[in-house]
Amino acid sequence: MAIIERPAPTVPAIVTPTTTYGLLKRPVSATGWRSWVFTVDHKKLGIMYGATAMLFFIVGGVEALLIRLQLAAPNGKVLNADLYNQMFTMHATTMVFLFVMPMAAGFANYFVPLQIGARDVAFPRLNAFGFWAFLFGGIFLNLAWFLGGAADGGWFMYAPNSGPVFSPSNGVDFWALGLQITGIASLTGAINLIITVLNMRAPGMSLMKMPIFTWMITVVQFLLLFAIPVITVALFLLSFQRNFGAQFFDVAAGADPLLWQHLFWIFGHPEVYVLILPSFGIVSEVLPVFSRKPLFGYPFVVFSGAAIGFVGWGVWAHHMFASGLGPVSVAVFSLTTMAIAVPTGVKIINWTLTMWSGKLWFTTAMKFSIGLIVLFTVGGLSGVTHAVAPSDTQQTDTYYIVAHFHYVLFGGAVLGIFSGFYYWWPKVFGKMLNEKLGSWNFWLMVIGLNLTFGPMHILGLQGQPRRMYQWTEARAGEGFFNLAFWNLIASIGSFVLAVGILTFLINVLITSRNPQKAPLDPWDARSLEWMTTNPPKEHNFDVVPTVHHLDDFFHQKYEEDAATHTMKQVRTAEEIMAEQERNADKHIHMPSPSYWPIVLAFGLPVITFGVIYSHLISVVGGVIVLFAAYGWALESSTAPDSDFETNTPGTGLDKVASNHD
Amino acid sequence: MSRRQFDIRLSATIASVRVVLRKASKFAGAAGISAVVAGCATNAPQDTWQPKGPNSKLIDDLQQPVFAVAGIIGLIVAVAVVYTMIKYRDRGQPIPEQTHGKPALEITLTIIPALILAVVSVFTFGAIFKLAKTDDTEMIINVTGQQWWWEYDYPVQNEFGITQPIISSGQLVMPVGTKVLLRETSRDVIHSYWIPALNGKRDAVPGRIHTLRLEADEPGIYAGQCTEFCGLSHANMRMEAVALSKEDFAKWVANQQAPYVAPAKDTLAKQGEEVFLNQCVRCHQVNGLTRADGTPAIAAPDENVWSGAAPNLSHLMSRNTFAGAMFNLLSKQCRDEVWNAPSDVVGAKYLAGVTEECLNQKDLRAWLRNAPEVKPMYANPADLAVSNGKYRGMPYLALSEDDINKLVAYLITLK
Amino acid sequence: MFSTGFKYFFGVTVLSVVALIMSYALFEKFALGGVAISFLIAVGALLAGLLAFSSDGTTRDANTSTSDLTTQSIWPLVSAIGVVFLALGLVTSSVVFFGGVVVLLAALSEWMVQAWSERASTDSTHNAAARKRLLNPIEFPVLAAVGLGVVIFSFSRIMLTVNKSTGAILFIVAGALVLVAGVIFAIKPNMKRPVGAAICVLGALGIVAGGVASAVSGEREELVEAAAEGHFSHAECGPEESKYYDKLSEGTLSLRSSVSATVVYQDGELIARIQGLAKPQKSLTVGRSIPTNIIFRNATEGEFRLVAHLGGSKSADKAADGDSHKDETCTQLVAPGAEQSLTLNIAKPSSVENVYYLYIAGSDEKKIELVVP
Repeated sequence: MAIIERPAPTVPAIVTPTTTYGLLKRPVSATGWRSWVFTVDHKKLGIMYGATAMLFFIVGGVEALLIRLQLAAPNGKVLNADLYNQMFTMHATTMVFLFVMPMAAGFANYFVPLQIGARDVAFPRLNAFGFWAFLFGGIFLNLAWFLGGAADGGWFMYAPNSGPVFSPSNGVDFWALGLQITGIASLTGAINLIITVLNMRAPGMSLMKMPIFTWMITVVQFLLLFAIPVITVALFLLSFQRNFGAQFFDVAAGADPLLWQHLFWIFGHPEVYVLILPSFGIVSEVLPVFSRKPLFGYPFVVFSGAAIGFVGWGVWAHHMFASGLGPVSVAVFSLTTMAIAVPTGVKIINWTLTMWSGKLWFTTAMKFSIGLIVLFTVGGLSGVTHAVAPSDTQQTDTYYIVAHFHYVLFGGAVLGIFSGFYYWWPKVFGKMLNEKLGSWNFWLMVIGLNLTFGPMHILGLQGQPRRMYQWTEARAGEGFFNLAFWNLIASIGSFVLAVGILTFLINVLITSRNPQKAPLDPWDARSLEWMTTNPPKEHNFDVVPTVHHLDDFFHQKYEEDAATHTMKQVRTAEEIMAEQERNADKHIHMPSPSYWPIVLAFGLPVITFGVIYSHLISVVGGVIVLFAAYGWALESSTAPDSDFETNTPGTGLDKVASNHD
Repeated sequence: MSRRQFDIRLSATIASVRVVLRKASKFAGAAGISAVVAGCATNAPQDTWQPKGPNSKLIDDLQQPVFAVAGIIGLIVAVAVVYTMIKYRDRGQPIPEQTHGKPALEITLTIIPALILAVVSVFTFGAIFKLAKTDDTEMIINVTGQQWWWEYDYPVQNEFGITQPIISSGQLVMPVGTKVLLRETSRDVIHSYWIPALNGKRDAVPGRIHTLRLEADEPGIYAGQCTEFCGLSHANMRMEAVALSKEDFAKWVANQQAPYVAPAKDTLAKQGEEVFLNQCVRCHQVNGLTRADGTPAIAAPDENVWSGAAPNLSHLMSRNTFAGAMFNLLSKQCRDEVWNAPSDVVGAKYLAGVTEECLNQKDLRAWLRNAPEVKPMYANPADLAVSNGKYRGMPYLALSEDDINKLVAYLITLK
Repeated sequence: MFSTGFKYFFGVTVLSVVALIMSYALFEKFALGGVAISFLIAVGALLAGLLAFSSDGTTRDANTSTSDLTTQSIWPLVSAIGVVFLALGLVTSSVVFFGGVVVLLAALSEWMVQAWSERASTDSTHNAAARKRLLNPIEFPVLAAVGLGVVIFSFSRIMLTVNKSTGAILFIVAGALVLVAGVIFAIKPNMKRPVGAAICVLGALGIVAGGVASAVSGEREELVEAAAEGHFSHAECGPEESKYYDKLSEGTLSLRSSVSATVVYQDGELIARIQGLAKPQKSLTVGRSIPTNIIFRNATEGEFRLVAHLGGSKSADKAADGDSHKDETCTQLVAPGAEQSLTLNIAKPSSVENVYYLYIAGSDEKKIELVVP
C-alpha cells in the first residue's frame, strides 16, 4: 500500500513530489555499512542479532569467569563484595536477556520466514526496530558499569533489597529501564513473528506441516507476548519506587514485598521456557536430518511444546517454596511443577526414538544435539527433585539449584544454539565450519560444563548457598573431597568451558579466512530453508514453494519404493534449484530499507537516561521518538521505482509489499 | 526396515534392557548414592543429607528415594542414547523408512513418568502438610533478620523458666527434643533462615511473620547460613543453632536472666564500661547497665541505624560468635573443642562461655578498630544521604588502641 | 551546494556553541541554561546534518519562484498572542508563562512547516497536501486530547458540585443523551456533516458551560468538610465515640497475614492469643523497631476501643496534656463481635521506667503488658 499518493499530474510540476519530502526518502544502499544499519531484511537482522548476542555471550562469560576465579579458593579477593554482587547480577541478566533471548530471536528471524517459504517477516521495519531496541537496551544496561556501578540485587531483583535505600547506586535504575527497552524489542518481535507464522506460510503448509523449529518459536512468541507485559508492570513499579518515590514495596507504608516475587516469577517462569524452547526446536530439526528419519511423534512434540507453553504459566510459585506461601499453595504448585515434567519428558523420549533405527551421522551439529538430550535430562531430573517442595526447601538458593539451571540452560539452551550454529552455518554464510575443530569445540564444552556444573550438585547438597561473594573454610567440611576441592574443580571447569567456546570463535575465524564453500545441500536436509541458495538471495526463493508434506524438501528429493519400503533418491537439490531458477518470478517486490527504526530505537535509551539523571533529557528522547514515529509513518512506502524491477500488481508476488507495515 | 520389524526390535530391546535394568537398578541406586557420598566432604557443617531432627529427617526420607529414582531414570536415558548411538551409527545401511511415530508407544511412555510423579506427589503432599503443622508447638522463639545478623528473642514462657524476655543474637539456643516454633520476620530486606540439619529454609519477610519448626534430637551445634540474597554482606550472615539438653537449657536461661554485674572500681574493665557508655550504647543495649548518675542506659539504635536495632550485648560472652556469626568469639582451638565435643558434654562446654584465655582477641580487636573493613557494610558516613545519614551495619568509630584495650576488658565481663 | 535550511541550522549550532562557551566562561556553571543550549546544539547539528545528507532543497532554490504560492496564515497572530502570554506570565504566574511557551512553540512549528510547504513544489494543491500530510497527524491527536480533556474536566467539576442523588440523575441523563445521539447517527448515516458536528459541539459546549458554572459555585459541602477533617489526625483514644476518628468505622477489618497476636476482650478480661502458645497470655513480646500487627477482637456486648500506651505520661491526664497524644495509639470503637487491627512500631526497649501496655479505653485495670526486649 502506497502511503503517499502522488498528486494527479494535471499541472506539470517542476519539482517531483517524491523528492519533496527529502528527509522522508527511503535509503536504497545495497552494500556498505548503510545496507546493514538501515536494513529491514530479516536475514541481515538475524545475523546482526546473532553477532550481537555472541558479543554479549562473551561479556557474560567473562563475568562468569571472574565469579569462578573469586570462588576458586576460600575468602577470595579477586572481587570485593559490591563488585561480586554486580557481577552475578549482570552475568545472569546478560546471559538471559542479552544472549539466549536475542540469539533465539536471531535464529527465529533468519529461519522462520525461510522455513515457511516467505520472503520476509510481516512487518520488516518493526523487525529492524526490535533489533536496534535490543542493542541499545543492552548497551544501556551495561553502561551502568561505567556510571557508578551496575545493578547489584540479583537478576531476580527482590524487593525491598532493590529499593533506593538498599541499593543506592544507579545500577538498579539502569537495569530496570534497560530491561524495559529490551522488553519492547521482545514484544514487537513476538507480535511480528506470530503474524508472520499465522499469515505468511507458503501455500499448502498447514500448521501441522510446519517445521518443528518454527512451531517452537511460535510457542515462544506467545509466551513472550503474555509474559513481557507482566515484567513491564513489575519494572514500572520498581522504577517508580526508585525514581518517583512510589511505595509499592515499602513495608512501612503497608506494602507486601512478596508482590514483586509473584510478578517477577509469573514472568520469570515462562521466561525459562522462552529460553529453552528455541533450542528444543533446533534439536528437533537437527536430529531427524542426521538420523535420516522424520521426527518421531511430530504431533506429540508439537503438543508437548504447546502444553509446556500453557502449564508454564501455572508453576511460578515453585521459585518461592521457601518464601512462606503456606502449605496449600506449596502443594498446588508442587503438583503443577511435576505435571510440567511430563511434556518435557515426552520430548526426551521422542528425540531418543527419532535416533532409534535411524542412520546416524555424527556431525558436530548432531553431537551437540545428542549432548543436549543427555545433559538436559540431568537438569530436568534435578528439576523434578525441586518439584518435591520439602526437598526444595533444603536445596533452593544453594549451589544445587545453580547446577540445576545451568544444566538446563547451558546443557539445554546453549548446546542447542551451538548445534544450530554448526547446522545452519553453511546456510547463512555459504561456508562450512571445520568439523575437526567442531569436535574439539564440542568435547571441550561438554567436559568443561560437566566439570563446572557437576560439582555444584555436591556443593549445594552439602550446604553451600549461592550468591555469596566468599565462602569460608569453616563450613567446607573435611576430607579430600571437601567443598574447597569441588569449588576448585568448578573453577577449573569454567576455564575449560571458556577454551571450548574460544575454539568455536577460532573455527569461525579460520573458516572465514580459508573458506570451504558450502555445497547446496550439505546435510541432505529436510525443510524448506535448504531449498534455496547458500546464503539465500535477498528475496529468499525464486519461486514461493507449494508444500505437500511435512519435511517437503526431503520428499521432493526422495520417494519411497513401494515394494521394498526403502527410500530412493529421485532428484538432487541442484536439480530442484535449477528448476526453481528456470521458473523464477520476475516481479518480486521487497521492502526498502528505512532510516527510522534505528532513530526510533535510539530515542528510547535517551528517555530512560533522562529518567535517571534529568527529566529534560527525557524530553529530548521523547522528541526523538515522536520525530522518528512520524518519519516512520510518513516516509514513502518504497524507494523510487527506478531502483526496482517493475511491480505488476495482481501477480500475487507483491505479497510482501502489501504486507508492508 | 519395516514398521513391524521396528516394533519387534524395539520391544525386544526394551525387554532386554528391562532385565538388565532390574538387576542394575538396585546396584546402580546403591552404587550411585555411595559414589556420590564418597565424593563428598565429611562433616560438612551444612550438609543437607545429614538430618539431625525429625523435620529434616522427614525431608530426607522423602528426598532420598526421589534422588534414587531420578538417578535411575537419568541412567536409563543415558544408556538408551548411547546404545542407540552405537547400534544405529551410519554403517552404510539404507535410508530408513520414514515412520512418523507410534501413538500407542508414545502414550505409554507419557503415562509412565506421569504415574511415577503421581506417586511422588502423594508423599510430597503428606510431607508438606506435616512440616507446616504448628499446633503442637512447645516453645516459641521470635527470630528477626536484619542486615546482616539475626536477633532471637524468647517471650516469657514460665514452663521453661523464662520469666522475663531473653534477647540474644548470633546463636539460637534451644532445648533438645522440644518442638520449637520460630516466628520469623525482618526489619529491612528479605532474609532466609536455614539450619540444614534441622529443617529446610524459610524466608524472613519484612511485614510478615513466617513460622518454621525446629527440633533437635541430640545436643550439638548446627550451622546455618542466610540463603536469601540480602545485600552486601549476605555471605557473612551466618547462624548457629545450639541444642542443649533440657537441664543445660535451664542453666542457660538462668544465666541469661542473671542481673547485670558492673565491673569493680578502678579496673580496666570499669574504664571500658565508660567507653561503652560513651560510644557503644548509642546503638547497643546491655540490660541493667546504668550511667554514672544511676539512670539506665537505654540504647537508641533507631536514631543511628536504618533498620532501628543493633545486637543486644547483654551476656555477650555466653555466645561463641559475634558480628552476625561471621567471627568467633572463641579462639580456633577452643571453638573446635566445643564443636567437636560429643553430644553428652557439648552442653557443658558451651555453657562455659568465653573465658579470658579462649577469647579470640584478634578478630574482636579488628572489629572494634574498623568494623566496615572486616565486614562489608553501608557504614561510610559519606554515602548515607539516601538513608538520611543512618548506618546499615557498624561504622568506623575511630577508637584509640587504649580504648580498644579497655573495651575488650569490659566485654569479657559480660558473661 | 548548501541549502538555506542547512545554513540556518548550521548557524544556530555555531551560535549556540559560542553561547555555551561564553556562558561557561562567564558563569562557570551550566545549570538549566547550559543544558538547554546543549540540546540546541545537538538538535541544530542533527538537523543541519540531515539536511546536508539528504540534500533537501538544493535543486529548487535556483529555479522555483514561490511568491505566488504563499497562502494566508494565522500563525503570526498566534505567535504574538503567545509572546503576550509569555510576558504576562513573567509578572503573574508560571502557569501563564508556560502556557505562553507552549503556544509560541506550537505556532512557530506550524509557521515553519507552512513556510516550507509553500516552497515544496510549484503546485499549490500539492503543497497544501504536503503540509497536511506532515502536520495533521500531530494536530489532530493534540487537539482531540485537549478538547476531550476540557470536556472531562468540566464534567468532573459538575459532578463535584451537585449532590449525590442529582449526580446519579445527571449521569443517567448524560448517558441517555449519548445514546440518543448514537441512535441518530446510526439511523441517519447520511446525515450532513455540519449537523452531526453541531450536535457534538453543542453537547460539549453544554458540559463546558456547566463545568464553568460549577467551578464558580464550588464543591458540594460534604466534600469541603471532608477535606478539612482529616480523619486520622484526630485519633482520640478516649472511651467515648470520637466525632471524626470513629466516622465511617466499619467496625471490622481482616488482615491478610502476619498477625503477631490476637487480643481478645471477653467477660471483662483482656487476653492475648499468640500462635504457637496454647495458653492465653497476659503479656506480649513486640520486637524492637518492627511494625507489629495486633488484632483486637471485641467479644463483649458493648463497643470498646483498644489503646496502646507507649510510654510518656499516664493516660489519665492525657486530656489536659496535649503531648501525651504521641504516646498512644488506638483502634476505632469496635462493635460487639467485630475485629480491628492495630499496628505498633516501638523503637525503645521497655524497662521499669518505660512501661508499655495495651488497655481498653475507660478501664485502665485491664492491661496486657507489651514487652520490648
